[in-house]
Amino acid sequence: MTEREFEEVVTAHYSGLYWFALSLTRQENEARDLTQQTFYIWACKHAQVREPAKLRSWLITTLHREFLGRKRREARFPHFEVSAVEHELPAVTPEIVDRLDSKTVMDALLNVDELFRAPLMLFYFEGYSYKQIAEALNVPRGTVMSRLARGKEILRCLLADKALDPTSMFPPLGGETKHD
Amino acid sequence: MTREQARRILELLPSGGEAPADPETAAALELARRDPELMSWFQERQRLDRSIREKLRSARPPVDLLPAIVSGWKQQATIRKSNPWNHTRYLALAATVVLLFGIAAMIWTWMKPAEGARLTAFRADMTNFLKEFPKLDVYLERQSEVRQWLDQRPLYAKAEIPPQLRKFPAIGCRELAWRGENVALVCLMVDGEIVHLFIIPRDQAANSGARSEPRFAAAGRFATASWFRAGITYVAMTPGTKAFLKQHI
Repeated sequence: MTEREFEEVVTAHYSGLYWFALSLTRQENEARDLTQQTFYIWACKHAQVREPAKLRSWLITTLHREFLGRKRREARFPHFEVSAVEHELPAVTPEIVDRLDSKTVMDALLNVDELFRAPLMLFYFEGYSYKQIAEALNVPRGTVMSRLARGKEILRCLLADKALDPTSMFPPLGGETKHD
Repeated sequence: MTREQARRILELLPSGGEAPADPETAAALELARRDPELMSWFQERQRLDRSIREKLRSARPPVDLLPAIVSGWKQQATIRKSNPWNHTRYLALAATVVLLFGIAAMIWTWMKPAEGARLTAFRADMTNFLKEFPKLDVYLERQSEVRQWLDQRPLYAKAEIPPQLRKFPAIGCRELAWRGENVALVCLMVDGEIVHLFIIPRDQAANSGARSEPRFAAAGRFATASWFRAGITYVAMTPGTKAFLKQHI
């Protein structure tokens, strides 16, 4: 593979992969590292990905596996149960969201509980259906459906809170980095 | 299907995306077509999802991430380019397989009188194992990280990488099972050649037949060395020559 080919693939996919990694880790340095590692794995195994159309899902699946592998190695993989608690949802409309800047919306998503972040990121950022998410994360479809529904509900709550009180702050993410 | 059941399904349809072709989704969409209130709710929810998606997709990653990935890969590529075997890996694979089998046969013939059957069998298995560059548990660059990896595993904490090899960059490590025993594999990039160092701890070492001083065997571009020290058997394997291996072990 040439340098140009590598750079073309990275340019096309690094943004989505980074945000997906950040949704998994909430640590910017870890997200950067995971994103880089995923491309290096691809560089070593690119012969396995014969169909360009499948590259995106291959990268996402590889990044997720790499993330799980690291979590297992760190022996701190938590077990979650989906809460059945229902909330009274404040109304959040497309117009409210349109008034928020992209960083605020991204911060809101990154403040959703860990369990729901990855499905949400794939749903919104990649436009994945729950079936595609189930395949990418290797999680049963029913589980993805409940996590996605619950995650969307939480995200709407966070966005509504932000719209009602623009001065409210989301907890800061770990690590330091520069964003555009 | 009730309106509430339909809502749960419609909620999960990505806006602008392709609806899953399953009976539940079809039924929910059909119900929405017949139920104006449900359709209105669904369209509003899709608009909201689109707004959220557009905001998320316009978020920019760190400005220095793209150059960092590319420059990191270039560094790795430089290391790979310095290794001619790796550079032509795929083309050489078939020839390598044949050569490795040849080596295994030569080693077996040459070493048999001097070393134990267990070590001979191990070497034969590992030549087979190395037909392709193995997948590693961790990819590490620094020897200090390799040391740390070994130290974290009591079986290998006392293992010593030969001093002449310690100044070279690592590729990574892996733990594998061989005949019920754990064996560590440390891969190093030594002067443009890959050196696979197997570390065989505990009781199998005692019966391996390896000597305290390295014993070398060579065949074509490939070489192996084996030695026994402080209760541990080491087997180094490289596509380089016997002289190359002697220089570094």
